[in-house]
Parts: sequence; structure tokens; C-alpha cells
Amino acid sequence: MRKSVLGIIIAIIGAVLLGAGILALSGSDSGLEWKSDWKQRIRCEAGQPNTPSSEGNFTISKSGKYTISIRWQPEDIKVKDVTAKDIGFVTSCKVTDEQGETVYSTLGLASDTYMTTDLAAGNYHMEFSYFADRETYPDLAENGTWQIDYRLSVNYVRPFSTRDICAVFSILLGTAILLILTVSLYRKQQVSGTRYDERQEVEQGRAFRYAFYAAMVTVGVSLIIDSMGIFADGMSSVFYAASIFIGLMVYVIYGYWHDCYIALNEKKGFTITFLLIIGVINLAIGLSSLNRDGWLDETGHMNTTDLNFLCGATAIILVVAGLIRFVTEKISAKDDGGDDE
Amino acid sequence: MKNLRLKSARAALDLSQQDLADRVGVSRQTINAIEKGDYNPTIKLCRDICRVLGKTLDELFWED
Repeated sequence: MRKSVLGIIIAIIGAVLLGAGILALSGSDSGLEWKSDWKQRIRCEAGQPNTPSSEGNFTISKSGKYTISIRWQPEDIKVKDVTAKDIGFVTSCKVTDEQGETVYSTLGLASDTYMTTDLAAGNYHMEFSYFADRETYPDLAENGTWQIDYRLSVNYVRPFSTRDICAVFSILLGTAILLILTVSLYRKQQVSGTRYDERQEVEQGRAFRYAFYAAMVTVGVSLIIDSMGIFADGMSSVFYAASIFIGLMVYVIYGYWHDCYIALNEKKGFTITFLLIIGVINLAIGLSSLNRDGWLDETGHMNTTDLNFLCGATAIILVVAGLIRFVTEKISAKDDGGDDE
Repeated sequence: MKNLRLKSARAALDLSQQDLADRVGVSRQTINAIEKGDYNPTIKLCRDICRVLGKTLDELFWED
């Protein structure tokens, strides 16, 4: 069997092991079990806000660990030009079963939060109430009526099982196979004479430096904006993730322009086509998910598909930059024979 | 500062930048950068270029 065919087979085995492990871990039986969106009116009379409360019924199909999440929709509400982030606290949250027995209750939780509890299969009733914090947001104490949209959701948390252990082992094995294959290919490439010249190595060092600076500046700007409270809760994680992609973009684009990005030097057509396919697929997944679910999940954390969007956007930008460099390089090479650029 | 002496020595042998690059084992853009004065090559690369072009280090790289 030819070595290249053997390499492809090993690569496929590694990719299958890695993919199967990730799929098994992501699991089809975990996730959103129930959600309910409510509109709540806060009425304030004689400087005294009422105590709003809500209730709802939900069914649990299988026993296990669940997270109960309460979240404002949107996270921030505006009252008389004042943006209120935590306008109140849940004073009580009670979950009762079909017999009316309390299976879970809590007091004094923040309004935008989630909690974990064990629930058996069956029908449940949930009720919670909260009060507005008059001292923090005095405008709420003025007479008037405001409407708040919020969401209550129940998510199943799959317990750690032997399937997870197998999945982790599969991921580790797949990663190890792909890593060994990559290293052996890289070594083979070095032996066969494909290498960077001295100028390219210097430029690569500069590219790494600029990429690092760009990532750090993005993280710094994100930190400042985050501390100013401009982002919704959880959105900052999207910006921190974006800093990695910005660093990557700076490295590759600098490499394009200084002819030290080997993929573009050696296989222009393949690199650009590959990036284009990766970009389009990821952008399609990311945009459709953003359109459907937004940036954050039920618990206010970053959706994993946000990374698809960031990855897709990065790849498309790199394709455009690569094409521009491809054209300028072609013109430059055409001039060669004496007078360059 | 542009290295016009390198450029003329290369042209005198009717070599393109790509030809010279192939002979000394670097990329065409590296030769271009040296000729434009954007990159200072190491002594090893200078020696290789001199060997291919049949010149001395002084003739190609010593600034008067």
C-alpha cells in the first residue's frame, strides 16, 4: 500500500474517533426540557412597587439532574433612561410535584440566575415571586407601570457515565493520531526540502508578535467595555473568543503580505478553496444559529455555534486577503526579470 | 537603501529573481526584498549570492 493512501486512512480513522467522541459528549439526550416566556407588569403606586409573581407547569420525562434558569428578556430594561441590570431579586422560587409536595424551594436568589436540582419524572408546578430593589433603582419607586419580559427554563443535565469515559478516550486517541500524523508529515516536508528561508523565519517572528499584540489589545478593549457594562451578561465571552480569531487573522494576513505563510506560497488554489469551504460552512451554521437562538444560550452563556460564526468570518476575511495578495503577487512576478514592484 | 549592484550583477548574467532565488535556495520575494533594501541578509546568504553571481562580498554588499 502506498504511504500516502495509508496516511489518508490513518487521518480518516483519527478524524472519525475525534468526531465520534465529540458527538457522544455533546449527547442527544441533554438540553432544554421546558421553557416559558412571560410578560410581567410591575405596577408602582404611592412609591411602592407591587410584588410580581408568576407560575407555570412543566413535565419531566426522565429522572435526573436539572438546571432551572430564570433570565430577563432582554437582560437589561430601560426605565426613564435608566438601564437597570438587576432590578430585583427572586424572593421565593418553589417547585411542587403532582401531589403538591415541595421538591425544591429557595429564597433570595438574584433575578438572572440558574440553579441545579434533582427531579423525578412527572408533572411539576413552579411559582416564583420577586420584588423591585427601590434603593438601587429609585426611579422604579416612582408611580407607573413597566413591562418586563423574562424566560424560565428547565434543562436536563446528563450524568457522567461510561459512555463519557469512552468518548473522552476516543477524543484523546483521535487527537493523538492526528497529532502524530501532522508531526510526521511536517518532518517529512522538512526532509524533502520545503522550508522557510531566513527572511521568512524573521517575518514569522514578527507576525507572531503582532498577532499577540492584536489579541492582547482586543482582550484589553473587551475588558474595558465589559467593565463599563456595555455588554449584556455573557457577551464578553464572545469578545474574548474573538480576540483569538483576530490574533490568527493578523498572523496569517501579515504572513500573506510578507510571503512567509507557506500554505499560500506552495498551494495557492488549494489553500483559498479550502478556506472558502470552511468559511461558507461555518458562516452558514453560525448565522442560522444566531438568527434562531442569539449569541447566548438559556443560561446566559456563549453558544458554541458563536465559534462557527467567528471561524467562518475569519476564514472569509482570509480568503479575501489571500485573493488580493494572490493578484498583487502575480503582478509583481510578471514584472520580474529586472524591475520588481 | 536599494542594492542596485546586486540587481545589475544578476541582470548581467540574464538571471531573473526567481532563477537567483532557486540557485541560492530562498524565495523570489527574499531576493526582491534584498534588492529593494527591505531586508539585510545574513552573511551566509550573502556568500551564496556572491558565489552564484561570481562576485565578491565587497563588490555586492559593501557600502562605499
